[in-house]
Amino acid sequence: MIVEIKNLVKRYKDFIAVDNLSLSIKEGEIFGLLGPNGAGKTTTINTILGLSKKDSGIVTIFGKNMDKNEEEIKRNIGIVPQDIAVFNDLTAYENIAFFGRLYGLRGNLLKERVEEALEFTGLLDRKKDYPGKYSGGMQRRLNIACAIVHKPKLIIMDEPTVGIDPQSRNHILNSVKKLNENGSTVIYVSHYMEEIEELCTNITIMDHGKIIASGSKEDLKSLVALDEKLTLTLSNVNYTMVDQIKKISGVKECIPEDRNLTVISQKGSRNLSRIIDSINNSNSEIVGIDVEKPSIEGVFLTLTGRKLRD
Amino acid sequence: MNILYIALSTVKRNFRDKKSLFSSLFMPILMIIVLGTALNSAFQGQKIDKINVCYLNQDSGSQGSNFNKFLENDEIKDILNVKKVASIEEGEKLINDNKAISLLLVPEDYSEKLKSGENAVIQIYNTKYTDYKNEIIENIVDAYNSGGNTMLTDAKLNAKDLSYTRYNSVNESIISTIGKVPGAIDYYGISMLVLALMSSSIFAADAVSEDYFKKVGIRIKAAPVKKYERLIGKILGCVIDIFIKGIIIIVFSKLVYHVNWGGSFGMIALIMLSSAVYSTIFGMFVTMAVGSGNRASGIITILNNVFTFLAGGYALIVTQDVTESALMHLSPNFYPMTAFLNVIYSNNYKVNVQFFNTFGYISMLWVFSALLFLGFMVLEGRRIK
Repeated sequence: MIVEIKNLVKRYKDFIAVDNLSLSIKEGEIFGLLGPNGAGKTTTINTILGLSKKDSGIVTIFGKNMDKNEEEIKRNIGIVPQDIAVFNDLTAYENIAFFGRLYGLRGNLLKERVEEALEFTGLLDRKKDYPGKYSGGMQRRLNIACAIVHKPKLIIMDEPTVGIDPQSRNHILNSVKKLNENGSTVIYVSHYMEEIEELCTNITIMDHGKIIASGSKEDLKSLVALDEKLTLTLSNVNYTMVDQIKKISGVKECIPEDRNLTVISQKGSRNLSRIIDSINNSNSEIVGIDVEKPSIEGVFLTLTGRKLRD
Repeated sequence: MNILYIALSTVKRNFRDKKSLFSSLFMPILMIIVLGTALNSAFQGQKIDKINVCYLNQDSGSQGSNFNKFLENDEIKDILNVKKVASIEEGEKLINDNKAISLLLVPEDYSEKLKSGENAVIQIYNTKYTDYKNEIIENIVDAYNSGGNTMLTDAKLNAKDLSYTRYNSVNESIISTIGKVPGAIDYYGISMLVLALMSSSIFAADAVSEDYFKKVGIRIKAAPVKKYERLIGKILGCVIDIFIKGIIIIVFSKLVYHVNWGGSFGMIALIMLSSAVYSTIFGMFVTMAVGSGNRASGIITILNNVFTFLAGGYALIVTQDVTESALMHLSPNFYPMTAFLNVIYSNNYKVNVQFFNTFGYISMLWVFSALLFLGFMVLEGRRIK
């Protein structure tokens, strides 16, 4: 395990921000820490890194106790904070170089690494610009460049895609995958379940400072017995067709609405081909099909009764 | 090495900040010429008010009455208001009540001693705070005493009766300070340099708030840099920045405005360094106390203007009143200003009551810096949760 946390507690007076949290992260994985705003994700990260004083618990990173080996451990961690954490009066190059120096890089190695970080984040041709001249997406990428200049073994990304356009978001998500392929373990903190689902191999869901679910995507989805929902857009809808579909094994409901037909079946019914046959037999043409499967959002909803972005 | 990188980066960033350059470099340079020209009259041909002294003559001999005549001389009357008192206690009371600067005492055996060839002097009881008025009185009495000794020599050689003769040299020795006092441009050169040094605490406030209250602080604290390295680096960077800007102001004002900065550059540098350290730590303390760099900057700007005014930085304050002078001592800007004036004008320019000497004022800056740093550390401990 690259990170092991045991019974971590962080209080702010009477408010418990992190409540007896324990988790393990394997080397080489992209670990997702998911939860709504205020769930305690950032506090957990800050406490792990020693940025906030913990009240109790043990944090072990790279097999070493964080309390006793803080400086050594930090040398191999890169942090991408939730907010853009760069100096506005230094150019992109100078920003990355400044943080590179703090991580012990010097001379030609520093120059090489800064250029690499700029290239990786697609900012090489704008390296002499000040962050104020960058778009939101470019600032986010600079935020990442400053974190990876020293090639850390562990990268912690706290909501790295907040408030950016889809193109920059895709760039960042691809960067995360590439960093992981290059050997870095990534802790990806977000309240965007789509990103977590796309990137992470293991996921921990937090709420009110506690872990409410943990495991692989499949593990989490199997925790909840959700129905499968199929929405069909047809050339025409008739009641004979609806009656026939309702008779198919596993179908719980079939609801017509204009040219749309919503079919709800029990999980694992595997009845899609029979539903399609029924429609074809009714002289109707299928224009579109949308199959909605169990999602992490659904898992969170089932476990907490709230949506992730509530 | 981290300390050096943080320090150099702080200097570089401060020098790139146009707002900071304007407030700490261009503005003081501009203010020197504006105030130095506009308020020049306040520094030209200052007329010294008559000095109040009290006088007790215990000598009934001829030399005692000679001193009476001496004090009634028109030239002395132009300078001194002499009030006769009946006892030393009465004189002391007048001095303590600030109604007189000195008590001149002609001792009982003054004539006797002169006649017998012994050393005889007229004694002076001064206020405990020395200033130029005491020096004037000492000059007058010294002149008379040396005259007395001349008479003594005459007495031994000629064995004739002695009598008082006027000493024109008295006036000359009093006004010999001409050329040793600052003109308006010199004075405002110093006061604006002090203003620039002290207002640089705003950069320290900003530099420190980055680590504790701004977003970039998370990244800095997550880096493998020890807290003391971060702090020393920032302090060093701010001090170097302030010091360099101070040197630029001095060189520019000397070459362009011909401001007199004296010849004791080592001492000037020491005062600048002490002020820069104080200013930096003051900025850090205010930031930690209010929990925001922006709020700290606002407070520092207001305080610095109040301190500059109190120290006589905008308008020269001439006072020998102890209470008023004590009030001036409440302003930390008063310490470097007084130290600069003392060093450049060789302690000849003292328009206020000074509680310390030059090194005392420099030490005060370091004492305050130490206390503010302690306060900063205590507040920092409370802020990090």
